[in-house]
Amino acid sequence: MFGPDEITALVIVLLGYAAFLFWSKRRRKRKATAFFREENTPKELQESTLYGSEQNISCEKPVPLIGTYDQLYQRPDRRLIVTDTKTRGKPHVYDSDVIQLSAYKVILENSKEFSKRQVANHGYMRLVCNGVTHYKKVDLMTEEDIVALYERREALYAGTTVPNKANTPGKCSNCHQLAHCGGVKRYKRRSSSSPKKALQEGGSSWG
Amino acid sequence: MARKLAVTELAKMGYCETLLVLNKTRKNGHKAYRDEAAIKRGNKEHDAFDARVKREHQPYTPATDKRCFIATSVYGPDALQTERLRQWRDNSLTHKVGGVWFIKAYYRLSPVIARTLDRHAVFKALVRSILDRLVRFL
Repeated sequence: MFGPDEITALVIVLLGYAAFLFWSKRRRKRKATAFFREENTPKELQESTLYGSEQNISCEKPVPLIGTYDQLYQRPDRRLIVTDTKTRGKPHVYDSDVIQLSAYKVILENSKEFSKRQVANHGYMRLVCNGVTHYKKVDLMTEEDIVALYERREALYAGTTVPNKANTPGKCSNCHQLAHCGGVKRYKRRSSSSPKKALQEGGSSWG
Repeated sequence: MARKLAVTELAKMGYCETLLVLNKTRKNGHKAYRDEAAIKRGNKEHDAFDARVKREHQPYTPATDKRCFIATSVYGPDALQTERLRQWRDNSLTHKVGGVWFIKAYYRLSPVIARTLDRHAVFKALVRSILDRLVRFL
C-alpha cells in the first residue's frame, strides 16, 4: 500500500512532531523554573497546580462569610493550599493575615463548590517587600477558632463584651482614634504567640 | 438570612478590637487614615501577579474523560499517575492535531493491550517502568 519513501516520510514527520512536543514542553518548563526562581516560590507550591486565582467564595455555615482568595493551589494529593498576597515594608506575618487565611479555609471547606475538597492546615503569605517576594508558611486556625472570633466580633458590636486594646504601642502611634481610646504605652505581653493559642486561652490577651 | 461578613473585616480583629468598635460607633469612624498610594500599589501587584501566575504556573483542569485503559490497568483508576496522564491528554494532546490522532489510535488499541497486560505480569512491569518515566517527565 505504502512504498518505502512514503513510510520514511511518515516516520520523519512523526519524529519531527515528537521533537516539537518535547521542545515546547522543555520551553514551558524552563519558563516556569525562571518564574519560580524569581518569585522564591516554595517547593510545595512549585509541585502543585494552580486551581484558581482571585475567585469570590462564600459560605452560610458555620458562620456567613464572604471573600476573595488570591491564589488556590492543588497539591499532588489533591489537598488545596490557600495563599494571600500583601505588599509591605517588612516580610512579617501578622495576626490579621492568619485570620484571613484561616477564614478562607473555613469558607472553602463549607462552600457548595468545594464541599468535598480537603484544605491543608497551612497556607502561605506572599509578601512583596520593595520588589522582592517572600513566601511565609502559616499554620491556620481551626474552624472553631474562626467561629469564636466571629461571635466575639458580634458581641463587641452589640456592646456585650469589652474590646481589648492593641497589643503594641506602634499600632496606636498613627491611629485616628487615639484621642478616644488613650492607646497603650507599653507592649502588652501575650501569654501565647499565635492568635490561635490566644483565642484558645479565652481571648483575654487578644487584640 | 444573616448578612455575610467579609473576610477582610473579620481579619481586622487581629489588629485592634478597640479601633474596630470605635470606627463603628463614633461619627469620625469613616475618616480613618487610608494610604491611597499603598492601596493602589497593592491592587496593582495583585492584578499583575494574577495575570502572571495564570500564564506561567501549570493550571489545573479536571480530567473530563475518565478512560485511560493502559494506565488504569497498570496503576488503578484513581491513582495519581493515572490522573496525571489524563490531565496530559486533556491539557496538551487534545489541543494538537497529531495529539487527537494519537488519542483516537490509543483508544482503538488500548483495550486489547490492557487485557494483555492483565494476563501477563511481566509485560505490566515493563509498561509500568516506561509509564513511570513518562509521568515523571510530565
